[in-house]
Amino acid sequence: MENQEKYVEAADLAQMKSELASLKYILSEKLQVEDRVIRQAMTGRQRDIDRRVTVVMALGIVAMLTIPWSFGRMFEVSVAFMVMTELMMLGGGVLTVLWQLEFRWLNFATADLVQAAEVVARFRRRYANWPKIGLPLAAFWLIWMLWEIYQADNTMMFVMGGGCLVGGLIGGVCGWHINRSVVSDADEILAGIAELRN
Amino acid sequence: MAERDEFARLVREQKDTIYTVCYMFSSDADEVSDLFQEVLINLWRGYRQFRHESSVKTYVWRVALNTCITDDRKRKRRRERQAGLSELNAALYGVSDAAAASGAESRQARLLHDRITRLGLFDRAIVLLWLEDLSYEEIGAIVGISARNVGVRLFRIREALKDGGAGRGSR
Repeated sequence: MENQEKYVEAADLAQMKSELASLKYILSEKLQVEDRVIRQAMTGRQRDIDRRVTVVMALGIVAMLTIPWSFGRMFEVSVAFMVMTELMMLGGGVLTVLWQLEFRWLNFATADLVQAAEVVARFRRRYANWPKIGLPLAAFWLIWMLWEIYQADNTMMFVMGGGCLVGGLIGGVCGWHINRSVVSDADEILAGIAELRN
Repeated sequence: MAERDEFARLVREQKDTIYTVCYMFSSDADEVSDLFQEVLINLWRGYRQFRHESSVKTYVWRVALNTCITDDRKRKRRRERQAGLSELNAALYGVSDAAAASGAESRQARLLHDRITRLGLFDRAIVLLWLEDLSYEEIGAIVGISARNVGVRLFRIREALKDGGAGRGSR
């Protein structure tokens, strides 16, 4: 009986190897890799996520440089509000850079699968959990801004406040869906790592 | 220039391995195309540091598996299709008679895909490396677990494949 089971297992393994050989035959004989595809890989294109973060960081720096002028001179907001806004943006920028560094240093050529998956999953989880800190701070900032609007009695501020509210609601809903998908992916990888180590 | 030519040659020599890995970690032809491009990018990024310290085969397997397991293609699915890779659709899904392999070969490939994609991400990687006749030590070095752990995982994977049901672990 034991010999029969081993025979069945060996036959099953042989069948899978045969299936794999068929697949690789199809792929090696029937498919060609165009030069264009290889050239695209070698152009040093940044990964999508790197590009997104770089753009956000650049916008953040521009915003930090223009906020004192725009808020202070145009909307007559308090110095405390301007400083708080600058600190929030600075804090967000520093955290983003710190999280990115571990991810950017990851080398797929030398890291084993568990190492690489752990780094990526942790990065995504932190990125996805950011709203837990960011949303309360954003709400606090919005409330303070509305208070500044009320104090200033400035028409432009009313317009700006209204725009921020509408934009915030739309962005919040879209961001929530993306966020849940990212967390789900990260959790899947972390669960796989945990099982592998058991 | 010589380095680029070398890299292009490596890609053409190893394309069946890269495509196989991408195929086993995707659910449709578009994802295979996306993953293939991502693997090439990561292979190029690590190529200068590679310097043949390990075998080419190990290098390609490691990068391809790392890319497929960590890829977040569900979020950043690209809309543009790469015309050159549409041949993959034809060959593997039998869309076009002109490019398709024989029916038996395609069926076998799809059977293997159906069995392996039921497994979790890491189990898929382990079983693919095992089918390539890599030793337990080599598999362990690529995955990041001990050779003994590889043996234990393979036993569980074989049981899962025999049952024909969903493998343990996440998909």
